[in-house]
Amino acid sequence: MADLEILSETEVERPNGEKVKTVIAKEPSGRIVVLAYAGEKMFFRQPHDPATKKPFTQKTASKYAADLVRLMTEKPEPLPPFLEG
Amino acid sequence: MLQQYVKIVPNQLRDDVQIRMGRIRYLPIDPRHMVYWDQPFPCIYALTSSDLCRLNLRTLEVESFGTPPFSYSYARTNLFVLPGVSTRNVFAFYADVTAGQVRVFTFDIYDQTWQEHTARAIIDASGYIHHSCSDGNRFVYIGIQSAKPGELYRYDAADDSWGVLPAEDLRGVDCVWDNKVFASVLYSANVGATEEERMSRDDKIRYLDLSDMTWKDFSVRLPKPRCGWVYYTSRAWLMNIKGTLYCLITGTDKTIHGQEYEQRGMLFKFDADRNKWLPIDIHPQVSRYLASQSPCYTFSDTHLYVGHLQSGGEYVWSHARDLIEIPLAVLEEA
Repeated sequence: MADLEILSETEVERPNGEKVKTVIAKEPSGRIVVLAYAGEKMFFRQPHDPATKKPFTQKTASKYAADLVRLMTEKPEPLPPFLEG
Repeated sequence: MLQQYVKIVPNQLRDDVQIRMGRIRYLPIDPRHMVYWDQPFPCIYALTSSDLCRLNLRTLEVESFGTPPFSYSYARTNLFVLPGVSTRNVFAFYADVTAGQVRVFTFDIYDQTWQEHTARAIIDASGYIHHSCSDGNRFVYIGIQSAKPGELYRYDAADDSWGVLPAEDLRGVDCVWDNKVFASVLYSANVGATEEERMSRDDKIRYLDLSDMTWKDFSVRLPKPRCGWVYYTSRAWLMNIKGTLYCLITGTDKTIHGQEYEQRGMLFKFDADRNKWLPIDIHPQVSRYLASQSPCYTFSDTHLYVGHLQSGGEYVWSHARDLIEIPLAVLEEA
């Protein structure tokens, strides 16, 4: 993250207990990206808004990051009964 | 996280059977969806209940890539590799019920990061991706189960765009073969029907003809399971394996141990020249392992792999963590 300008970050706990951090950052090129980290490891990098395929603005990045947090923290759906073990 | 596991082969399978029918390997993961790929080495990528992982088929080492950016759901997710589009991305489709969308993610196997692509709004937000398929190259066909008359979409991975296809009352789509998208086939539940009634049923196979985008009846009906089958699980799976159409039927057989029901799987190969299904002779042990109600399967150039999902139940063969590895040569001999 050394070469990134952090614009905002949010830490949440996933249903499995894992703590993840969602970061909105500006790269040296000026591009705004949405990132997600599990500990120190980045596991998600979104370079553009998937809804429009256009570069993020701070507003669209915030909206996307909030949705990503929602997606990552939703409780998993239980298995159908015949698959429970 | 790298773990080493030892191959365990049940001793009920004799050596000659193992050679003939392949192996049943202990599976150190519990896959919900899995897909074979030869990148960066022959392996299976699998979504388990907790993470995306990779099973090295040479060494049986398992590497975890951590939790994906979406919550786990058995029926709302599917995995594909599309070598015609990317040599480094695993595609994961996820039905996001809250947003009423099918969302597309790719996992870069070298950078080990996820990225999201264009989503597709669906009509029935509660719909399931019960089963979906790809042409193995560029297109992924996503069937949405619960809405009637159903929804069918085609994702173009090369263009990151979606199309809408005509849909019937389908549970999903199984495979693309001969420019046809075959719908998942569900036998009507008929436990209690007489054997004569079961064997005389008119089980048509439906497909979407991609040349004119209309649904039609396949010229040949579903293969008939052998006498004594009860159709407990009532499911047939159509598979396009290296250009040949196969059918896996799961059901319950009461002929082996008298009145004791036992799960069975039967494999058939479609002979296009003779326009008929040919049964494939598989060992009873393998047949039991193939009987999962919801098997996840994939194949390489040499083997068909079936991951097991069943884990309990009165009529269920209880081996939750096995990988059945059947040489394609066995299927091709049929």
